[in-house]
Amino acid sequence: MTLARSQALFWQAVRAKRAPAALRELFVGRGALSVDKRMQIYRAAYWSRHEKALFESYPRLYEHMGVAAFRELVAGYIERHPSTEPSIERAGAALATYIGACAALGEQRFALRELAQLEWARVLALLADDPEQAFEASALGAGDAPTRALRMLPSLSIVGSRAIWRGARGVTELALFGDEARALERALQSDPLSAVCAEFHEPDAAERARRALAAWIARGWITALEEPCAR
Amino acid sequence: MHGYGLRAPHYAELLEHGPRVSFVEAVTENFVGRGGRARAVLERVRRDAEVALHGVSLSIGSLDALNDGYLDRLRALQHAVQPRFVSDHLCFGSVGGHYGHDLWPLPYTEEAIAHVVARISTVQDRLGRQILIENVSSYIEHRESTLSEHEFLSIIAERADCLILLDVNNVIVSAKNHGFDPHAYIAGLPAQRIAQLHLAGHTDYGSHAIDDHGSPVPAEVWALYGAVIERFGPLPTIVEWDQDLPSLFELQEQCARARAASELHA
Repeated sequence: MTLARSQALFWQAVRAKRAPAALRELFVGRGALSVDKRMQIYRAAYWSRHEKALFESYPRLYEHMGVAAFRELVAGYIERHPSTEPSIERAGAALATYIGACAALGEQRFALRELAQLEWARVLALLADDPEQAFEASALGAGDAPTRALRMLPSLSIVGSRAIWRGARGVTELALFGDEARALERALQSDPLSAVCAEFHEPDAAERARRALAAWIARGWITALEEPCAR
Repeated sequence: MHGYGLRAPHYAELLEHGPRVSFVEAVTENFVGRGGRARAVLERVRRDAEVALHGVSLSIGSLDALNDGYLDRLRALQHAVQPRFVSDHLCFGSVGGHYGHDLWPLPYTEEAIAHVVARISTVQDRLGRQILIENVSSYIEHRESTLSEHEFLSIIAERADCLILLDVNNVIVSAKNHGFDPHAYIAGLPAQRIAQLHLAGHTDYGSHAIDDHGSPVPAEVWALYGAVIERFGPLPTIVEWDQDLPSLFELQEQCARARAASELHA
């Protein structure tokens, strides 16, 4: 048997509910433990390890759904979306997408999907890299600043109208309203500062943009002004 | 050097007091490409202790292409941390681009040796250093194996010119599960390749043993550790503990016991 055949069969056996018959061609049982029981050790470890990772990533979702329903959801998800990342902490990356497509959840899937998106943003905020440098607010006064993009905190994202980021006291959420949420979306898309500010509308558009940028700097959301050639 | 693996529930204490040992091991996947508290802990412990980066997802025996992004991030972390050792496991853990997040056993064959040796060489070139490869605990044996596990490990280390991280607990667990003599296993390893040791606890169910890292190092592992030190001399040692995590104080006591055993048997 080639390495390719044996690895494919092992993968199949770990994920299957029942061991494939070909397993006994591949492995030797010894002593009191049969081949099937030995493979069951790997199978149990695979499912429980993924389940544990998803419970840790989505605490609000499983509290909302209840443990039994969440466990069933997770089993279906792992079946459909096996992990593609070296870190198991990222195994839940597609859960919101899976929920959105899960007709069995009925109408509640839309609210569950939104909760999953929010929780996944929190996971990503926790895992994100640190900013390279502290931002000097005076840089926004540079003559070409309106044409340049803001470099935002690596952990910052926006889900709906909620900003999520990792600050000094851990992962934080903040509800934003109207034009500030839209402006932050533009900033996270690396649009020029002028386009970010253009999301603030009259009356007092300039003043509201100035106040929002000052708040973003105070929260550590802005880490640099990109070089003009960076876009 | 004796120490323990860094685990998240200890981070607050580590940030405040440091590791209080001379050697710590960081699971690579918990630190690559990530900042925040985890990275702050790594920076803090580096002030007082040597660091080893210990991976679980290199999947060196897999037929999947090596993960370039992962290797790039590992290289960057290695540059930042300047670890004493970089290690991973002699196993496969991914198939068809999907990760199992486990350490699955390879068949002990010439085909597997050729495959793994080529991949270790690639990784060592990419990282610009020798890596360490660890023996895993296993629960199942491939029918087509033509070599013993220690022969397989030794041949790969020689041909790939890499080092060995010898997990003493894994030798005991696999010996129970497959019925081999752990002392013969140790006697068959190339002394010049052994660079680091692991100690841990396991659960013995009678019919088999599970490597769960959830209890103190048991007597039989300490006994084999003594034999390992007698054969290879004192070596940097990490105590691993993952389930039912004890206090740092208890981990430090296990490290002190490892140091005493090293001195006794060297």
